[in-house]
Amino acid sequence: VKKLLALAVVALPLIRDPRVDDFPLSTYPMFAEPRPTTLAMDYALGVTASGARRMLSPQLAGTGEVLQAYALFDDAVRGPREGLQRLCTESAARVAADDDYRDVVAIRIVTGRHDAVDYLVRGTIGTEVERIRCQVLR
Amino acid sequence: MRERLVALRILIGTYALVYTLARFPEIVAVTRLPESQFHPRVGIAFFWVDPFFVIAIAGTTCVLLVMFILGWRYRDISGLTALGLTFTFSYRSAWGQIFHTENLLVLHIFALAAAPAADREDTGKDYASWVKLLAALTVLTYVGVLPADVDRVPASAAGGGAFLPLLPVEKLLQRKLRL
Repeated sequence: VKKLLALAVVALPLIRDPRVDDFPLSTYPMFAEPRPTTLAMDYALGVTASGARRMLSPQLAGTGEVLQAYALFDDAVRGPREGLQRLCTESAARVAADDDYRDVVAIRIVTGRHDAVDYLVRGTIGTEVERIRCQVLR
Repeated sequence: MRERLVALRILIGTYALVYTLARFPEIVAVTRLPESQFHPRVGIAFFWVDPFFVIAIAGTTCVLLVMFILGWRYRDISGLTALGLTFTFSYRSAWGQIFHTENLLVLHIFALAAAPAADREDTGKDYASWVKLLAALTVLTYVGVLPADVDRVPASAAGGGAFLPLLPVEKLLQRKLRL
């Protein structure tokens, strides 16, 4: 009975709304839709004194996980302005403390829209709309 | 077959321990995120918990996993181990990103927790069926991916209806293979 119950519980996502994810019983919604090559996402960029853009690591957002950083920026851009401001300020403070980013003078949180193939294969950057900018104070 | 079940307990338990230890810095990192970014009701992470307790539970889970691997006081600690692991990874996933790589690990630890996986000698129990259960959980977890095909879900079934019979498995397979 225990074993049948375990199997039934694990099979529950089969009859659940596939858009509603959970843990550890998942509907795996990330496999549920065709993947367009155009990707829109929110992320932080470093800006150097000469105005060049620098990619930042997810650790600077407070997490070592890329996907978790993605979720943090997504939440912050769609949430209250103070949350976005705090994420920008905290990221800037981490940048200030990291010697690898000593050339970065400001942080921009942007919503970028890129064609994944163009971006990854041809190095073509799509459009980026700035949501907030904050200075790196040292 | 008892030996196989015991071996699976040791192997899966060791994997869970190494995985949890490797993720420990990340678990600590998420406890420092602002509470406003916490997404409740993921798994058994129903509400925000003070970072001290989250780290304490994760640390205790690692100790329990050592006992789990050794089979020491198995009946007493196996359920707690499964709960500790579920809470730790539910909490880690409750910040906007669910880590699906941890689903099967947690399910296997739960199944092992209910199994006689630390018997020192054969007591005539049906050990084989527990090994089969672990295999079935592996298959079922990933078969669950197949019907997750939103395009084919009728709007009337989007709230969680029984749409599965409408989706021929071979067509779903073809579609998945194209992705």
